[in-house]
Amino acid sequence: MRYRWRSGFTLVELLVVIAIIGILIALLLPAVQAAREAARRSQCTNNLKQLALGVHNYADANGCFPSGFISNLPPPGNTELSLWTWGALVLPYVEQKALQDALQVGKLTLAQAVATPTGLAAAQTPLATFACPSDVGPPLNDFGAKYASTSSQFSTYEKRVTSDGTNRIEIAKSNYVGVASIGDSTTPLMGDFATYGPPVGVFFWNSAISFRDITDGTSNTAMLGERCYRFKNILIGAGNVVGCSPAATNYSSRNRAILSALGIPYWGINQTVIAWEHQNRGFHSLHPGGVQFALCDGSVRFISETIDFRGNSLAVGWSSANVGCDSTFERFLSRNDGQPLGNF
Amino acid sequence: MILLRKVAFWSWVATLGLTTAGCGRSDLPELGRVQGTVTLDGKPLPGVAVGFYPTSGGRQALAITDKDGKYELKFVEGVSGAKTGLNEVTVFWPDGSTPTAPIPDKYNKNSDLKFEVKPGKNTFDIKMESK
Repeated sequence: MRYRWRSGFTLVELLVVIAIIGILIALLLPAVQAAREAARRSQCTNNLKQLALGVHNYADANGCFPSGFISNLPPPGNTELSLWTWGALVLPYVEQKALQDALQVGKLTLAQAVATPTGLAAAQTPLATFACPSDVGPPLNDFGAKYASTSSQFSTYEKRVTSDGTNRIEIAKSNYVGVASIGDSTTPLMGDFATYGPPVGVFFWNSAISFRDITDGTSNTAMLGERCYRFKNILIGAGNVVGCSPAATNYSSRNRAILSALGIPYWGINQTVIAWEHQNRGFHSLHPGGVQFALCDGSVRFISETIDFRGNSLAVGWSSANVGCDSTFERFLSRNDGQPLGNF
Repeated sequence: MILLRKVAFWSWVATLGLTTAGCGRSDLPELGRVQGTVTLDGKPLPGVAVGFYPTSGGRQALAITDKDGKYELKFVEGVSGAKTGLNEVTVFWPDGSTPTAPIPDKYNKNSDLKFEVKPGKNTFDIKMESK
């Protein structure tokens, strides 16, 4: 048999080469996507770090952490239209003094501020420090305007801000909320300390927590956590940067608008089973496998969604939510449970 | 030629293997699938929440019963099951639900209900009595 040498490739050789290239690309693509997510997560870590440092600087200047939200009157029976939340108070400490001046935080109420053109423009300025790059939500929080009207469950968690009690104004979205307490109830953080005792987090109704109040130690206590706009197919609604409007004029524990600045564990990290319409109480993120938290010492940690956690319904007559503090995640969120945290 | 074909074939096998391996999650504990039916005085109880908390510590697995009182526990989003080992079990009405009957304290607040979850499939029917 005569062997004839021809230059070039046979079809099979070509196919094999293509197959090998295909395999290499298939190996590379997920790595690229994972690297992108890792970059977004590290940007998010940086945001949380900046905010935690802002809170620390606020504490240095004022002697305590900023209040979770500021309300003139003790509940119930409040008729305040819109409330400033901790985000508005830390603005000067994250290099946004000009924004705070435009909003006239402290001179005007939020309702009065968004009624002025400069105040409205300031409240609608998206701030990169308050936005997680992995989040898919819009820069202005449209949760209230888009979804609250579709369900009474959503409407109690309105993220809109109002200037006259009826209009809905979308303001800049925040993916970071202050840790308010543990358990499933919003009642303690609304200022009702009689029913289930006072909150055990660091941000709540007119709170003024200073470092000495964090008796578990600042490196064992969470300060800020993440909340995304949409988790899988569940609308969470993220939060707002500078404030919120109570959904009803009747300011009671039913009024959950304040959850646009505060968070509680509810039934667990990235939880999707129980009461989907209430998930915007808790902590969710699109980073695979967990949520990032800034701690009271200023560090940032990624908390796995598989962390030891047992949800609790608060019971009437408890001295505080710490009565139900029986898992690692709850000990991490509580500032004064008095139990060793351990490794997690 | 035959060698080339062999190389191509094993490359595909390797790719398939690597892709499948990359999809699994490594941060999950050992889980067992758990399902069953919740009844109160013999009648199926729909819309009630079931929580399994591992006594060795870990994330609480949760489920809500369907209209026939059936539940299947979810550990995290997209992963069903509960952590294997002994689990303390509670049954409670979730927020936003309209309780159709009170659940006795011995099934939630002071629950002494415990199930041993094994790898694979588990069926635990929770038969509650209001007394």
